[in-house]
Amino acid sequence: MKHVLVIDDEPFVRDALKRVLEEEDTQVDVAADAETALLQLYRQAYDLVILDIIMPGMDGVELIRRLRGEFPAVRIVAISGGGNFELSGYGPEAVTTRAYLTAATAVGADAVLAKPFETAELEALIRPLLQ
Amino acid sequence: MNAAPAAVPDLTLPGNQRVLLVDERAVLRDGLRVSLSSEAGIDVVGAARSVPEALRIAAQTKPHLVVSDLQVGGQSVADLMSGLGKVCGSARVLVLTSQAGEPQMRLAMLAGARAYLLKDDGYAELLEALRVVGAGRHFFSDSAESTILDQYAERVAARYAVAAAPITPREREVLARIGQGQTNKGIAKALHLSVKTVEKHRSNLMRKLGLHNTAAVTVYAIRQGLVNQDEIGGEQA
Repeated sequence: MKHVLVIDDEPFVRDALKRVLEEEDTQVDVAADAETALLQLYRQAYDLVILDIIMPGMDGVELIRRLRGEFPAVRIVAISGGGNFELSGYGPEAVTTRAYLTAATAVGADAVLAKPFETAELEALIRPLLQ
Repeated sequence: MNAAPAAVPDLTLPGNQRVLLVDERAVLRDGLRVSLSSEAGIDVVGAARSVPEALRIAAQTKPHLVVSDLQVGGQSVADLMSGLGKVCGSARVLVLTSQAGEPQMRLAMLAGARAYLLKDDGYAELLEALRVVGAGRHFFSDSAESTILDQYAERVAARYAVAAAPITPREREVLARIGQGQTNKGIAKALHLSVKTVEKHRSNLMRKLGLHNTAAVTVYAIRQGLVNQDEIGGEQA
């Protein structure tokens, strides 16, 4: 069974992703921030990491840089709705969403996904990565 | 296969437009640098996290366009524009921020910004703003424009709400007598009221009508037909 780590500071998003991924026959762990996630990654090997980009503390792009240096084999999916500061609910076409996902790709994310997204989109994105 | 509609700006004016990015958030700087660098006609010459860093880069690279947040490293975009005036006077500044208030927009534009966009506006709008400002014009994103219009409409509505407030029969009587040139003391005597009460009626009706001095009240009373022409001219001794 493939092992997935979901990193998002929003509990609702973490839980929703966990439910979707468990239906894909994966074992899912969650973390609320990048620092906690790194500790989990040191203890446990993961096949796939799904991470939010804007989080308190270390952001998702910095975390991808670390993962690419320390865990080069792990597959990474970055998700973003723009940001959790001041204004929320940025759409997929927003300047910020585009910038954050581009930055994630530039540092080595295997795939990116703009919030809000449909379950089917996420499933289609992660299946090839879990092969 | 359908071709996606081209959102590429017409920045093929003489040579590429040199663009400098200024924002505290590294993820935004990095992502925008990569995104904009892939656009035709745009050359991202640098990305700064503070005003001093932006000015250093601007002095070296002479950008045409500077995309900046309203506040960067404790300094404002007005500080940035003031500094740019010394090192790169021709640079035009576009504000890209999460702050949607009209006062912030007004201050930024007064300081000399050429465009105002919100960070949740579309990326295509940013490209359009770069094109428009690059061509020497000003640009407001749809959401920034809506904010300005909504807040203006609220102010106008508030003003009319005050003006539309009904005045009482007693205030109307006081208004007519002011229009006839009577003093507070004269009105008080004629209406068997205290001077203080008349002052209160006068102040209330001025507030309700949005009038700021006695001359304006007099003109208003005459226009409302509250004063006969032969009554104009002040209190008779």
